[in-house]
Amino acid sequence: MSLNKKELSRTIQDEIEKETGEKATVSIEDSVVRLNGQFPSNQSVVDAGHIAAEFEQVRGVLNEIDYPGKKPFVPPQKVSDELAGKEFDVVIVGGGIIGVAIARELSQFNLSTAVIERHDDLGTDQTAHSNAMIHPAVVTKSGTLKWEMNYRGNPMYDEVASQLDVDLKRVGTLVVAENPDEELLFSYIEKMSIKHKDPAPKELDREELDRIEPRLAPNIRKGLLIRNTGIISPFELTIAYAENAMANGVQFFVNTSVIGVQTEEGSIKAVDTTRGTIRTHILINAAGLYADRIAEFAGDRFFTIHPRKGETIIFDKSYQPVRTVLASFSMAGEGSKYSKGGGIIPTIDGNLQFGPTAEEVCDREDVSTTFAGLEVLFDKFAPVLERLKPHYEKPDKSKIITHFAGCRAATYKEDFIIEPSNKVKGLVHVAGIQSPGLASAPAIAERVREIIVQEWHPAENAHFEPRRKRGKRFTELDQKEREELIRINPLYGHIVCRCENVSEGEIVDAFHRGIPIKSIDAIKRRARAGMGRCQGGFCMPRVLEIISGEANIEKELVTKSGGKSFILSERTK
Amino acid sequence: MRMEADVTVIGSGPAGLVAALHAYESGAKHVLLLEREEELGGILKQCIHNGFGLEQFKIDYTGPEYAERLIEEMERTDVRYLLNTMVIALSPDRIITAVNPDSGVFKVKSRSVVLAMGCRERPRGGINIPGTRPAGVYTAGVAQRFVNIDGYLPGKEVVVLGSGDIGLIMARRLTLEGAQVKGVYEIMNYPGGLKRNIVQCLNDFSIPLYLSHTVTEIRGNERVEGVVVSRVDEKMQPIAGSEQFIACDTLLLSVGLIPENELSKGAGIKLSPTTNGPITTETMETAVPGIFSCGNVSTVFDLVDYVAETGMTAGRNAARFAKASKKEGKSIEVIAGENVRMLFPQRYSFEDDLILFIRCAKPIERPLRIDISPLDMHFKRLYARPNEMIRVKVLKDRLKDITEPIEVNITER
Ligand SMILES: Cc1cc2nc3c(=O)[nH]c(=O)nc-3n(C[C@H](O)[C@H](O)[C@H](O)COP(=O)(O)OP(=O)(O)OC[C@H]3O[C@@H](n4cnc5c(N)ncnc54)[C@H](O)[C@@H]3O)c2cc1C
Repeated sequence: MSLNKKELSRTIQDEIEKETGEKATVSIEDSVVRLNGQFPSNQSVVDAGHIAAEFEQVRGVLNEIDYPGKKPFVPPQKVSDELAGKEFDVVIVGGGIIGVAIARELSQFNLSTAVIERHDDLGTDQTAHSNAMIHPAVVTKSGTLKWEMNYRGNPMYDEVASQLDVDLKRVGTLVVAENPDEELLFSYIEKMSIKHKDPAPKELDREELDRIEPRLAPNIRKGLLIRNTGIISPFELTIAYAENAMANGVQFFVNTSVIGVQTEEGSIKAVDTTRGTIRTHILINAAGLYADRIAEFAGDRFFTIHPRKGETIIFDKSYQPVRTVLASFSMAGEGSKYSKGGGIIPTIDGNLQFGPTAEEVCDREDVSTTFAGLEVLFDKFAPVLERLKPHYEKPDKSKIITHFAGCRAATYKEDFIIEPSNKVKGLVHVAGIQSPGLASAPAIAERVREIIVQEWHPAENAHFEPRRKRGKRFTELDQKEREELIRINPLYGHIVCRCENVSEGEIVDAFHRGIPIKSIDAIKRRARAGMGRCQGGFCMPRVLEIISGEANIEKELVTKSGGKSFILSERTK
Repeated sequence: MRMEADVTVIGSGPAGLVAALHAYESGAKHVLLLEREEELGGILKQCIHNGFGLEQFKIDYTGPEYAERLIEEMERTDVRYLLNTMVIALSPDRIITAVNPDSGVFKVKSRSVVLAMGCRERPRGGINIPGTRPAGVYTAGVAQRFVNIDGYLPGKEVVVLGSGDIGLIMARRLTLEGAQVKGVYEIMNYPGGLKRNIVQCLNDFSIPLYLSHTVTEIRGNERVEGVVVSRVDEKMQPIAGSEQFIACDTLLLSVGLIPENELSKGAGIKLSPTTNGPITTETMETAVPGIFSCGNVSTVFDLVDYVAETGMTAGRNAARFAKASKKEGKSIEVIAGENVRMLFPQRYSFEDDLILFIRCAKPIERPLRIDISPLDMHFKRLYARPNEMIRVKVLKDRLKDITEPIEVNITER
């Protein structure tokens, strides 16, 4: 056994040296590989981690290799003690889609549950920067946990969306054949889909194509529709899950970071937060990009998260060249080993997006966009779109309304980790949830429920209400409904965001749905004010005024997205 | 609720106010003015600097004074106006759907319609500046509203990108309020705003203007901490190695205005790709009969006087249409020729004098000639710059016999 270990570390060291030319120190304990050393670049460090993770008997990789530009991790400082003395059965760290989906799932039981989120609002990390796709499972590697969660999670969305009153469109992924040879490849995709437990895709002739994706290039005779691809708003979904969880008793603490975990005799005892220590005996680690830090706090490190950045561009609504997620065979193989390579994707709000890119970065907080990223996306997808849909206006850069980036929380095994800790009782890891984490969220929540039920047998919550209703939206109502609504509440007759036709009523409503909000972006995510083509240029001062009134804070204290992101500096003289 | 009107004007900025006033004075009885804000005046309300109405009234007003003068004139008439009223749809047969808190959703059937919705500022996304997305990046107009209406300073150390007029005016305004404006960066090799604004807003306050420069990155996580500026080459591409970091807490964007034509598009009105506004004739009538457009919704003008002039024309002709729906008359194209980047209006319908607004394609710093063919007609100028619109007038009489398109060319002498 110890020899085996030695052999393995030797082999890993050699492989790393062969690939990167650098020498790492390799040690192994409990099938967890730990890498140390000094490498010249982040990419070489990431390569080393991946090489170590390739070995099947390796359960996880702790990558501690140094490189120029490495960011030290400094947890935030404690600011108050206001939460001290609180006690819950379950504390979930992380208010991304995974944390809130778990919270709602657990609200079916008589468990007191809290969600702790470091940012001023939920779903602001990976979740906010995703491409909002409910992927078919065929994009994953069969046999992995990612695959299992994806194929289980995808169909669950029909029920989730209807219970939570969230828009979901099963637009499908349409793979078109640009020549007769490519038509022959359809059977391969069909076989793969079935192997991945997706519903069988549908072969379409030109007539059917014209109905689903009008005005394709004349040379396209056939297409294959992968029907279960969906699109959704990740903001809306996160907020809907959270509102429903809250209605069923879950408490949410935003602007609160977990900065330590206390254990006693190998069991979870409490979490230290920036606003005081909270007692709990079950801790669910759904901290996304920081899940390895939480594991470390609890004394159960066995993986390192390496952030992989993805950039996305969004086009103006007036430009809607696609209805489906449109793909051609020429795009296949464009992805790297660890990401799918992005696509031409419509959003639920009717904007076209190109994205995402994939780039290993040093900083988990790196959400900056780059010229290079924009060029990569444009060069990759614009020619394909132009070729497949030659009768539409060309996608040109002047139609871009926004460009954003986010990091994926990848482990070196590049798979999800959803399991109770084998070291600390009461700790459950839900880590490495990169893409397709959104598509998998309902299944992940279900898996966590199974873990909790098996271990703690909580009683059911007899009052659980699975349904949540969203606020009224001016744009979705017909004339009668609008008149009725405005008669009852004239604020719905006052349009604040003229790009998206959002009324003051909708904005005010966002303040009365439980989750406390105070920032411009929080409103944007809920009411869509500022989401349109002028990106808040016109309505932002108005929204600021409304926030100041509703949240009862001075205008100078209103932020864009929490923290010190103040909009205004001071009163004029 | 359902209303009827002879002329309905959408938007109460200078174009809309003047159009409503002139529609009334030209004999339209029921003139209705719809404004989505809580006050009349449009963007004028926040333009507290002077320079308004010089050509029209021969008085140098501030924006609010100028608006006040128009509003007073209008108040003496029977023009009706509704505030807080957002028009959400317009049909080609001139039925307007609008909403406000008092009446809810209602329709107005109007004999003719004048579009005067103005323009909006190009946002950050529209120019794709890479970097982070912190607080502190505002269009100049938003900053203007914060300072002049709400009474707040948006930041203390400011970089301005783009030398459009609002940007220049805000550079001065913020300086007067105690902020430090570190510079105005313009990607073109000539300024975007009027000469007088460069002098009065920048030079007089020693604010540097950097031509052929742009912002290539925004930094800062919560609030802007600085920007990277770079020099650009003739193709406006950033020159590697010329990057310079400038610490600041605010980036103001003054990078262009876009006519706001979502309603026009909804009504099936054809837009011009160069002005981004409706294609109109000299009467300001769009391609949809009975729908007129004027002011910055048609094309972005430099001066409020020009805006008002188009408003007058639109109002007068809308009243005429309301009285007697005009038969389909003939019209010919007006074409932008050599060295002409923008030309307005784009058609001529033999009703009125033809007042042309022209922007040249590049700065010409020597004497030049503007030729109007097929007329043997020339206008001479000593120089021409894209940031200064040229206005020329061709009398109706001169045009009455022509049949082929009118073409405008600029040639250096
Ligand atoms: C560019 C990009 C595109 C993607 N596209 C898709 C897609 O189309 N479809 C799909 O299925 N998936 C996609 N994904 C993946 C998907 O977004 C993620 O899998 C999913 O959002 C993960 O959710 P999460 O809740 O685990 O993580 P997160 O959303 O990152 O949530 C974790 C939360 O934990 C909080 N947190 C961290 N540390 C602490 C602490 N110490 N104390 C308190 N709170 C803490 C964070 O602030 C964060 O809000 C994409 C991801 C990226 C980056």
